[in-house]
Formats: sequence, C-alpha cells, structure tokens
Amino acid sequence: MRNLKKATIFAPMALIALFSSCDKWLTLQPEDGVIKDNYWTTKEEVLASTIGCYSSILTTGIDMRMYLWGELRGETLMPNLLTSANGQAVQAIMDGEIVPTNTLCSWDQLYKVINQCNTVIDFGPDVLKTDESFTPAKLASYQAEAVAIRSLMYFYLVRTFRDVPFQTQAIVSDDQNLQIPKTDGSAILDSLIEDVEAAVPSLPTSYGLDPAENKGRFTAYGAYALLADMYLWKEDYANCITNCNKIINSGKISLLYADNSLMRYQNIVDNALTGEKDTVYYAYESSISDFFNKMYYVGNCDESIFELQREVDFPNYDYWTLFQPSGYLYANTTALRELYFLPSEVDRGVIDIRGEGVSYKGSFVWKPMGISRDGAALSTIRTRATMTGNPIIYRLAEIYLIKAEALVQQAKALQAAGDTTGTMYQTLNEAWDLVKTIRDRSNATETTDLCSQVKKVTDLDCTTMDKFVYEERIREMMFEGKRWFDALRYAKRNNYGGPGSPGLVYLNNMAVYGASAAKVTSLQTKLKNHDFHYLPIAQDELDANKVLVQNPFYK
Amino acid sequence: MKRATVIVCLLIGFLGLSSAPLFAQAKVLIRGKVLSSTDGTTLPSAPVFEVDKDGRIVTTAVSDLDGNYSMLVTNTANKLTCKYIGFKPKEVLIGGRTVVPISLDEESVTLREAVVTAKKQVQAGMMNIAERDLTSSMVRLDTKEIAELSSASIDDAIQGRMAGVDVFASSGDPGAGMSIRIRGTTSINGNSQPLIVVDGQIFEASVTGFDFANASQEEYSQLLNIATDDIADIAVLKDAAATAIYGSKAANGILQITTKRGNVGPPSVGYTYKGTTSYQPAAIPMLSGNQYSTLILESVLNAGVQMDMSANPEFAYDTNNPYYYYNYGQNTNWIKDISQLGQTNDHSVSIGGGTSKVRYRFSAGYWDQKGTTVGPNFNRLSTRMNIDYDVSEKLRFSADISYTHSTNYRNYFTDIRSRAYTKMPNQSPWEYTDTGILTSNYFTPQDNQQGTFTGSQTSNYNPVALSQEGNLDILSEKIIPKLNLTYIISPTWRYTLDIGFDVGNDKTKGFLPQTATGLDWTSVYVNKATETDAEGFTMQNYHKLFWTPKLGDKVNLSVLFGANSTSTTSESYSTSTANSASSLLQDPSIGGRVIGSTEFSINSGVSRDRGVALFSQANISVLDRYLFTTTIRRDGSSKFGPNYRYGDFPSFSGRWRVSGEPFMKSFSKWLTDLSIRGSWGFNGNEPTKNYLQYSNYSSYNYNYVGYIGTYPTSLQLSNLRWEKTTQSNIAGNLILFDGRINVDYDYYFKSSDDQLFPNLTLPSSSGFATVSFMNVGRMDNIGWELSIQTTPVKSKDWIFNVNFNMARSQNFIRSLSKYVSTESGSWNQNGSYLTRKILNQPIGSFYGYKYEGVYLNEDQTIAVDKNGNQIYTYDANNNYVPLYMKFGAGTSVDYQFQPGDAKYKDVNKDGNINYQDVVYLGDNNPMFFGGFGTSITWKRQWTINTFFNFRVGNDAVNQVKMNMEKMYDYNNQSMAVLRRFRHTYETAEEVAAAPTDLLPRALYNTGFNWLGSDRFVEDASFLRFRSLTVKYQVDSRFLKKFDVRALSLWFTAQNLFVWTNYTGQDPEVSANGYDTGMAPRQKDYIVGLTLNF
Repeated sequence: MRNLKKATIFAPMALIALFSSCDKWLTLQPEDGVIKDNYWTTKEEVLASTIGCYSSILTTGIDMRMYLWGELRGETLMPNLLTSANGQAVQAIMDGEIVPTNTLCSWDQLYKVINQCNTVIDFGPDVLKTDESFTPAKLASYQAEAVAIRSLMYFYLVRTFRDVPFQTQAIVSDDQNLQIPKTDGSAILDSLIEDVEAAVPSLPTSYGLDPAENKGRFTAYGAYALLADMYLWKEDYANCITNCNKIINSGKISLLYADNSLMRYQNIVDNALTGEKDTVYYAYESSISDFFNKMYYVGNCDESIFELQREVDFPNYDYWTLFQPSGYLYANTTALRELYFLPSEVDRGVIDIRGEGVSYKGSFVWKPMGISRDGAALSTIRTRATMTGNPIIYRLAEIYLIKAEALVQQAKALQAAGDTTGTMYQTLNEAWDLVKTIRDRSNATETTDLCSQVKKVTDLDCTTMDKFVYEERIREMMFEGKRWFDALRYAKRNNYGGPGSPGLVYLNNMAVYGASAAKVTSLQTKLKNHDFHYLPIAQDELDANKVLVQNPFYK
Repeated sequence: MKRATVIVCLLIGFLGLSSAPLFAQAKVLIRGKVLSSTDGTTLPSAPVFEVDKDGRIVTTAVSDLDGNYSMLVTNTANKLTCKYIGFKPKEVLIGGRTVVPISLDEESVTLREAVVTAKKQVQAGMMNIAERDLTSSMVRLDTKEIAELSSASIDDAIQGRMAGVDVFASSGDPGAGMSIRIRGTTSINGNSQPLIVVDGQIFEASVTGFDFANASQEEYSQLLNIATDDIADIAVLKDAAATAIYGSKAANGILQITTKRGNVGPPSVGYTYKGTTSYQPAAIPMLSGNQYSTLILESVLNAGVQMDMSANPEFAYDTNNPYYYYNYGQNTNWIKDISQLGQTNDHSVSIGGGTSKVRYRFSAGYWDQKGTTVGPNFNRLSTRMNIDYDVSEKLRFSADISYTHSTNYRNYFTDIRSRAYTKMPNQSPWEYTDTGILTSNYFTPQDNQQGTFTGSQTSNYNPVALSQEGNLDILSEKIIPKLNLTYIISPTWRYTLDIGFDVGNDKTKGFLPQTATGLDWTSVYVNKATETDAEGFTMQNYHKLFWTPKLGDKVNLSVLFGANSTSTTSESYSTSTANSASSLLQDPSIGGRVIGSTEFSINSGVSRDRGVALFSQANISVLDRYLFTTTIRRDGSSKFGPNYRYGDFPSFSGRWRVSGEPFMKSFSKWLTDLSIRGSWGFNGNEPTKNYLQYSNYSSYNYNYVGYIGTYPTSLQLSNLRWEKTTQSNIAGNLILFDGRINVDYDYYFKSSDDQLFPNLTLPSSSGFATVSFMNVGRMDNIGWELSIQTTPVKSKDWIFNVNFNMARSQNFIRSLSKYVSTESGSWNQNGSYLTRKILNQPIGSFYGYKYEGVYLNEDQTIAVDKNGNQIYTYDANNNYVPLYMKFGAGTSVDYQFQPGDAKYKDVNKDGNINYQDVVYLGDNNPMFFGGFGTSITWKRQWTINTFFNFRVGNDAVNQVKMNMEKMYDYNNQSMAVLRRFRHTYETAEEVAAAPTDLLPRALYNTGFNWLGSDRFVEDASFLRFRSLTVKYQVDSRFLKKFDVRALSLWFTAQNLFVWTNYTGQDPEVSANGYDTGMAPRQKDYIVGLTLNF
C-alpha cells in the first residue's frame, strides 16, 4: 500500500512535467493556408487583401443581390411564372408578399466584404512595422479603397433595409461581441459620408493604363460618384452637385457617343425654343451597335466610373440563372413600351436607342445578356460560360442625371422660398441641359420629352422637371439595378411629402405594372405603410442575433 | 501506400530480429538420442529445444532417422525440451554433460474436449476484468447471434440486440449507412456517433480533417468494414465509468470490437458462404404519363396561368409535332427501369491453430454485392492475420495485420431513386425519331418544364441514363498493422507496449455523362470527370504498466498506469475537369477543360492532429463483494487553443455483490448473483475539424484585375473547448438458477455541457456566416435500460432461449447559447414545420396546423365564429358581405382560401389562419425501443432463431407523402392524387357524398395546400420481424467419414414483415424524424453454409 501512496504523489508531478513538454508537440498550424498571426507582414498581402474585397463581391453573388434589391420591386421586370423554385422568391417580392424567409432578404454576404474591408483598415498599419518598403501613403490608398468598398456595401444595406448593424471593426475571434444591434440608417449614412470624404484625398485618380483596373477598382472618381449618390439620398443637394462637378469637370471621363463623330446623320427639325430651323444629329444604326458593344458587352468604356470586373475566369452565373432563356426573370415589355420607350409620333425615322436591342431584346433583359444589338435574340445571347458582362455601378450618364435631380430639388427649394425669378429658372435650365445631353445622345423621341412645349426658360416648372429627370433615369439606367432606389428616393423625399413631391404616386404607378394583376390593390395598400418600403431582416439573422429587432412592418 | 509498405517491412524486420541470438557466448556441442521410454525405440524428426531459465527458446535441433541429434548449446545451465506427438513433453537438465539422451513417456490418454470453468474475462476499456466483477455499464453481444445474418457492416447486424443501443437506418436506399446512438441523442445538433475501438486501438472510421469526412453516414458505414466472420466479440461501453479511460473521445459511448485469435491446437480450417438475394418491396404507385399530363394542366390552370401549348409542346400530345408526340407521349415507369434484383455473395476462409508458444489465425473474405438499383455494386476483399508468440515466460508479443480492399461502385447521384419517382412519366427514357422509331439513344432534353440540369442532384437529368452511364466509385485500401509487446517484469509488475497504425486510402472517381444531362457541349457539367485521392495515416501508441500486488485472499488490487499518444495526418488531392470528347473518356487525366469555371479545380490539402494522454485505473475487490474502480485521464489535443488544450476526465464506480453477503447464504441455491452497481464519470468530446483556433487566410482561385485576392476563411475560435459529459449510472444485476435467468437494469443520468454545435449560423454582421463548431449549451439525458436473457428449457434434446431488451431515453435542453436559433421552420411556408428548442423541454417536437380536409364550396370558405355561425360584415360600400377565411391576413402573405384548398383548423376562431393556429403535432423521440428474440435448438442439430426489433411512441413527418401529394410543381405524384378535388360540391347531397379522403386541388406554385400540418405527421411506431433463421448442423459422426469436423447449413430471411400504422414506405426513419426515404428496407433471403476441417 505504501507503493500506492508513492504513486499518488509522483503521478501528478510526472503529469505536469510531461505535459509542459507536450505543448510544442500539440501546437499544429494549418499547412494549406496562412493563419492571421503570420499574415499582415508584407505590402503585397495588404494589396491581396484589398483585392480580395472585390473578389468576394463576385464570389458571393453580391452583385446579383445589389441588382435585385435595386431593380426587383420596380416594374421593369416580370417573373417567368412557369419556372419553379427560384422564381417563387422573386415573384413574392414583386407581389409584395415579402416574408423574412425569402432568400432574397439575406444580407449575410455583404458583411463578409465589410469585414474584409475592416481587416484591411485595422491590420494594414501593422505592415508598416514589418515591411520597410511599404509607405504610409500606399497604406492610406489601400485603406481608402477599403473604406469606399465598405461604404458602398453599407449604402446598399441602408437603402434596402434602412436600419442595419453597423460594424466598423474587424472581427477575427469569438472573443469579440458578435451580436450587435441595428444602427439608425440616417446615422449610418452620415458616418459613411464622413468616412468617404476623409478617404477621397488618398485615392488615386488612376491605377495606370489598364482600363479594367481603372474601372474595376475605386478611384477618386468612383468615390465622388458614391458621395454624390449618398448626398442625393441624404437630400444634401449642394454637396451632391459639388461631387458631380468633380467628375464632370475632371476631363478624364467622358460620355460615350454612339457615333465616333463620323457616323452621324443630320435631320432638320423645328427647334421649339428658338423658333428657328436647327440641325439635330442622330446616330447611325451601325454606330449604335458599336455603342452597345463598348458599353455593355466589352465594358470599361470611357464613360464608366466604377464597374465590377467579370471575367472568363469567373463568369456571372447568378445573372445567367436570372436571365437565361429559361431563367426566372423577363423584361416587362408591356410596361417598357407603354411607359418609357414610346415610338415617335412624327415619323422621323428614329427610335430611342436605349430601348429594343439595348435594354431589352424581345422579352430578354439585354444589357447583361446581349452579345450584340443586332441579330436574332437567341443567337446573340450569352451562354453560361460567356457571362462576362460587368455589372456597372456608376457611369457618367448617371452623374449627369444625379446632378440634374439635385438641381431640380434646389430649384424646388428656391420656389418654396418664394424665389420664382432668375436663379430658379437658371437652375432648372441647367438641369434641363443635362437631361438634353443624355437624351440627344440616345435619339430620344419627342413623345417622351416632357419639355417639348417649353418655348423659353421661364416655361420650365419644377414639377415637370422633377418628373422628367425621374423618367429619364429609368430610360437611361434601365436594368442597371437602380430602379427601385430611384422610385423610393423620390417617394421618401421631404418625409414623403412637401410641395411638388410625388409622395407615393410613383410607387403606386409602379405597382400597377410590377405586381401580378390580382395583387396590385393589396400591394398599393401595403405601400401606404412606409416601413414596407424596406425589406425584412432574414429569419436566420434574427435567430442568430438575439439583439436584432425585426423591421417594423414584418413584426 | 508507400508508408504502409514501410510499416510492414519494419514489422517483419522486428520479427526476424527477435529470434536472433541476443549475445554471443562460448558454445558447447552436445549430442544424444531421442527414445521412447516404453520400448526404447528411437524417435525420428523429433524437435529438441534449448530453453533458458525464462522459458525462451535459444537453440533448436531435430533428430535424424535414427533419433540422433546434435546441437551447439549456448549455456549448459539451460534445459533441453522435447515434444513429440503421442508422448508427453519432457524437460532435461544439461548440467555439464555432452551426451544427453532424452527418453519420452508415451501419453496414455487421448486428447479430449477440455472443459474450462474459469470466469469469463472481458476487455473492459483497457483492462481485463471478470464479467461478474464489472463495476461499469457494459453490454456484450455474442457474435453467434448474428453469424447467419447478411450485412457488410456490423452495425446493421446489431440493430435492436443490445439494450440502450439504438441503430437507425438513415434510408432504405442500398448502400445507405446506419447511425448508432448509445443512450439516445445526446447532442443538440452535433455528432452522436460512438467511438469505435478494435482490439484496443481506436478505429479511424474516416479520413479526418476534410469536409468530405463528415459528408455522410454512408461513408461512415462504408469504412466500418470488418468482416462479421472475424469478430469474436462486440461490446458496448455505455456509462462514463466504462469509457473514461478513453477520456476526451468517449462521450458518445464506445463500440468495442474484438477479433478472433488463434487457439492452441492442430490447424483448423473453416469456410463460410452466404448467398443473398435481395429485392425492393413494391414501389409507391405513381401516375401514368396521361394522368400526369392531366394533373399538370389542371394545376397550372388552377393557378391562373394559361399554358401556351406552342411553348410547352411536352404536354400538347400534338400528332402534328411527332417528335414531341412520341417522346412525350409515353407512360414510363422510371422506377422499374432503374430497379433490379439484388445479389450478394459472401465467402470467408480462415485457418487457425497453434502451440503453447505460437498461435495464429489467418482469414480472408470476399464480399460481392449487387444492389437493387441499377448501378451500385460493392465488393470487398479482406484479410486479417493475428499472431501471438510467447518468446519466453517474460516476453510475449503479438502482431496483427489486417488489409481491406474495397470498391464501391455507385451512381453519380445517390438519390437516383427519388429522381426516378418524380420524373415526368410522359417522357421516354430513350429517344424516338419524329417518325416514331425508338432509338437506342437516351432521350435527355437540355431543358423542359422540370428545368435544366444545374449540377445538383435535385435538378433535371435522365435517371436511366445516369444509372447506366454515370458513376461515382470509391476505391478504398485500408491497412491496420498492430504490434503488442508484453514484458513481465515481476509477478506483480507487467509492462505492455502497443503500437498501431491505421493507413487508409480512398480514391473517388466520378463521371457525369452528357447523355444523362443533355446539356450542350460547352457546359461545365458535360462529361465531368472528378478524381479525389485521400490518404489518412494514424499512429497510436500505448505504454501501460500493470501492478497487481498480492494482498492476500480477501483483497484483489490491480492498478494500471498508462500514457498514450496519437497522431493523424490526412492528405488529399483532387481534380475535376469536363468536356472530354466522348462519354467513353472518363478519366480527368485524359484531357478535358480544366480552367474557365469554378466547377473545375485542382485542389490539395493537408490536415494534422495530435493528442497525448496520461491515464490511470485502479480496481479493487474486497471479499469478492465490494468492488471499486477509479479512473483518471488527462488529455491534450492539438485541436484547441492554448487556453483549453488540456482536460481531466475522472470516474468512479463500484459494485456491491449483495448475494455474496453471509446473510444471503440461504438464497444461494437459486440466487447466483445479485449486485448493485453505481458509477459517476466525466467524459469529453472534441470537434472533428482541425485548426479551428486560428483565423485562417486563403486566396481566391481566379484573379481580379490581374491580382489574386485573399480573404479570411474562418473566425478564430479562442474559446472552443471540450464538450463535457457527466454521467451517473445506477444499476442492478440479477442472475438466477445458475445463469438460466439474467436480468440487467440500468438507470442513468447524463448531462452534456458545452455542447459542440457544428456549422452554427453566426450573426452575419460578424463577417462570417457560419462557424464550424461552437460550444452552445447543456443537454441532459435521462433513461433506463432493461435486458432479460432467459433459458426456460434446457434439456438433452431441447434448448430454448428468450432474450428481450428495451430502453427509454429522454432528452432535455438545459441551457442554450445566445447564438443558437430556438425556432426553425416557418409558419407561412409550404412543407415547413416549426421546431422549437425550449429550455427544459426535449428537442424533436413538431409544430404545425391541424388539417381538416378540403373546402368543398365557397360557402365553406366563409369564416365561422366560435358558435359555428358564419361571420358577415359591412364592406366599404356598406354591403353586408361574408368574411372569407384567409391565410396570413394582415401580413405580407395575404391569401384568401378558395374552394378546393386545404382547410386548416382555425384554433382561435378569428377567420385567419396564421401562427396563432400552430399547435403541437408530435415528437420524434421514441417512448421505448428495443428488441427481442428466441432461439430453439433441437438435438444440437436444428436451430430456429427469430429476432424482432421495435420502436414505440415516436412520430415522424412523412415527407415522402408530402412530396408525392403536394401537386405544386412539375414532379410526378403518387396515385393518391387521383382523389384530388376537381369540382365544387354545391348541394347538401353532393357535400354529403363527397369522398372523405379527398385531397386538395392541384395548384401550381401557389396556395398553401401543403403547409406543415398533421396531415403528414404520423405515428411511426413499429415492430419489425427482423430475421428468421433455420439452421441444420450435420451429424458429426456422419461427417467423420469425409474428414470434416463440422458442417452446418442455414437459411435466413431478413426484414420479413413490419407491423405498423405508418403509411409511408418504412417507419424506420432517420434520427431527425423526417421521412425522406423513397425506398423501404430491402428484403433479403440468405442461404449459407459453414464448413470446418
């Protein structure tokens, strides 16, 4: 028994001795990846992490989500009723039967990108200590890029869900608090604007000669565009215009004309304003095709400011699922033809080039799907492997229209303040000029010209211009993922009211074409509740994050 | 594989070395004669050994024809020994002589069957303990009981035979695996499979560390490949006291398998053959092509869509469009086209025997199985060699090696049967030309209403083409060498060393032919070829020191000290290509497209994990009545961060043999044993993945604007720790009439804290959607087990055995992490049941609506108040209008019920069906489960065995029925939908005459006709006639003429009949309670024979 006693004394001691030497043996690190402790040591890693933010947008199909959130609740699309499964989620959204389990309400992937941006911002500075060839300026540029991407993600979230969790710190470990509550959407927006304003000076205006890199990464112009868009959403029109001007006046980005200057033909028409005969130029058919090819098929044209780079390496399968011949979304051609692409009343031999063959072809959504403007739809549609069209986030034409919209709002403010003289008309005229530039490029027909009766500047009025800019945006940016955000921005302006504001009118009009016939009335009823204008938080998210509260309409 | 060869070489080298002389010494030549002491005749070819004082053989010689031998002995102090058949062994001292005659005494008695009366020793964890002295909870199964069954994997055979061990078939599909649960579901969502220990060594059921390792239970069973004929003993260690010695890995219990070893005696050769014929019981009757087309048109029309026949020629039956008319005008029975009669042949040969020094057993088996679905085939070659060699009285060693080579030829998709069920029956499997001539090409259109093939097994493909042309084959090699060395230091101290290796290679080759998907030739799924090579290498070693001091007659003490380390490395390499030129070119190396899609890839991976442990166990028995065992183990694992790397796992258990007390002496005539046992212990469980304690960075496999991007792949889990299970057990053992009646009863309380929850959904604002594992809460299990074994009749001619076991296990959630979703499912989605995780409640309950039939007419869709009166109200125009029943009124889903829609009970009478009408519908936890069997033997020649297993009181969601009757998409439906609502029932007479089993109307892609309701929840209690065996043992006297020792023939039928009220295919549904199995368990008829020489 004495031996036993000895054993009980020595055994624990032996234990301690043995295990302390085991620690090293038990420390194993993965061999097919890098752990965080060994990462963030060279400048190349910072670049790779920054690039990873863009890659994640593509990998996780965020571009599809951004697209559908921006386009789906409008009237330009219609579901293919005879395809199953995926179509149901889409149809439910369009009919306004939105439930938290709808797969399109999931925001999870955006936060993956946000966290990646946060890691660049938080851990990038560590590299300055270990890599002597890394400079603070270079670091600031990468961080600014990350800030811009993060802000873009949050801007989509705020427009889609209004109040969302606002995480600006990198999450690496389960020690951190993973459950954070929602932050008020307008507070997030203010914070985003502040961040991007601070980041812009560090961003380059160009990354070199490769257009793919210049358009595929955030340049200063991309950040200005984002700022302009955010200021517009915030209803801060002066700052919006300032940022638009920075792009328009840069001289680095120009509108893509459908002509190449030689390929234009003249047409003499009445110029209503001056009362004289004037010469108007229209693009040739062949050059319109060239225009489509450059802008949408090849991508990264001169007009583009920021677009996501889809390559053969990583085609856009999500868009393929949506828009392929047996996909679940079609162009709502009834709405498009009846509302936006009206044929010319007088036979002037022109059509709006943005309609058939560019935005849509037959019932196909053509901007992402077309290989060419000409030819039969089924023989010029992309295949799954050639879905390399870049989702365009910002291009100059939109900046023109953002500026026009801001100008009109400023004019409205002037009108409300009692100023109906010079400055107001001058502002409206400036907006009208911008709209005209966009319309002229596209051979817009007089039937869609709300200012066709305007003889002089003082004939312009705020309400008409307001609607004109709105409709022009639809024509120009059709199927580029902007539709619902535009309509919502107009609707929510001045707290859903104020003089000259459309309030719910645009949304209600949209419901008529957007929802299936039986659901229009119920959808219009729901639209009266402003909380319904934002999507519900996905059920999974509520389950995993107990401090989140469902958005009001869906409680 | 290379590594395996090295190990084998090392082993052989060791064997060779051990017989070489250890040191040189002056040698002396001695000679002599071997004689018979009776008549002095010389004995030729008699072996003579020089043996040292420890009994170790040093030198050997053999006598010549005249009985003379000569040998160089190393030490004259040694002894000479000689053994000769028919004579008694003899030992002679050399003692300085150079001529040593050896005379042997003739053996007067012939060898007789020996009767061993020693107590049965069982391997309990790491020590051998007499079964009657066990202090912990352990149950054994005699393999004789399952010898006549046919199963590739032993888990299938043990189903229902041990109390508290529940075995589920995850599906009846051929090749599908089983899940084993010891003492119920103990995990909220994690792994509940037990640890498997074969001959003292942890069996790596899968190549760990990769995602595919926990892919499916199918893989699990595929690798639990030990031929049933090689198994001597199966034991299940249930309570923590029994399993504590395996510490951190044993929280789910241990399935301990001991293989057969050689016995002393002349070589004995055995051969067993089992031939099995299997067939699938009748399939669910499905709609014919014509019935199906009618249904589809009706469902689309009911949904308010007019189907354009020119765009959907598949349903047009238009003779002017002959290609479609022929190809979509058929009545195809897809199920019949992919079914066949199954056939299995199982051969096994073994040879075993040995002397007091060396014992050996070698076996080889061949298993060849053709499944009941066209395509799958499984064959396996297994060999095993166990050798025990007593080098000396001090030193013994044993070397075991087993090798298994198996090929599992599978279909590219495993649920091909489900696809065949739902496939459009008007479509032809083979293509017709537009003149109506049937060709031998598969008819696989790129897309039709059922969609396009998108890569997943639920998308559209031609099941017949896939079963014939596609494959996903797994070729496995597994080598398990093991070496054991025992050194007896002194009578009280003993040291053993176990070194074991486990080398597993899996090669998976898949091919998805274009003929099955019909995609155009540039698609990434056309002729997609994949190949994955995975290698797992595990090394385990155990050092054990046993101390058994002599403490007199009244006290027995045995103590074990041990240390152990394990190290596992897994490596994998995979390639995936597509677009090879022909469906005959099936290997990825042939050259297909490698880049251009994420579907193509070249991947490799390495994963390692290590563990160390120190353990100690002490058994003490006083007066044979008071027994006590204590165990402690300290574990370290590479799977955790520095904060939680080590864990301590203690246990205590005791047994009081009441029947041994003096005051019980008066009952000893009939009371053989009465004991009370109690135990308490603490176990762990570790995650199946490695490196979770790090935040890992990976790079994308494509570039963005010319650069490769990186991203963090995982959250650093600094707080990940062992799952801790505490278990208390109170039990009684009662043995009456010298073992004629055996009763065991166990009551246990098990509490698992810090439960490991796999793939937990995180708040995505963290940037990570899921986390591989997280410790999430506590769950308690309370239950009892009863096992009764009786032999009511035991006479010269008759032996009659009845065995019965049953168990009950209840689980309760005690705490939950804030990250765990407490409710899953949705109240407003078709097919979805709400399940809730409520504190202090069991998991596994279903919530949903009460189904009340079908709205027969518009009048019935008017809401009624609690008195049964219809509710009317004034509308905006002041008209008096009825209030119609709605679904989800006031929410974004606002649906007004129409005649023909499913009617749900409006529990709160508000005219609105919503989450307030959701009620409790059932629970998938069984009240009891178990099995019973009888065995009758007559004259030791005829034996009839029957075995039944049962489960009582569990409910299941009949998801098959749901999918077969929902009439919501283009999938084919069962014949039951012919009873669907097709017109309103207006008059009272019509309503009265309406069929009671009317199904709701067909409604394409809309409506709420198949919400989670009690329509699909059924009582899944069952009693299954698991097996019947009739066996005939041929008379040994008759066999003697042919030099055959034993011959028996038998016939077994498996899965003969099921008594159940469940209307689905098979009430034995998977652990989660959702019945998705399209195929019931197949019926097997087995003919077998065993031959012994």
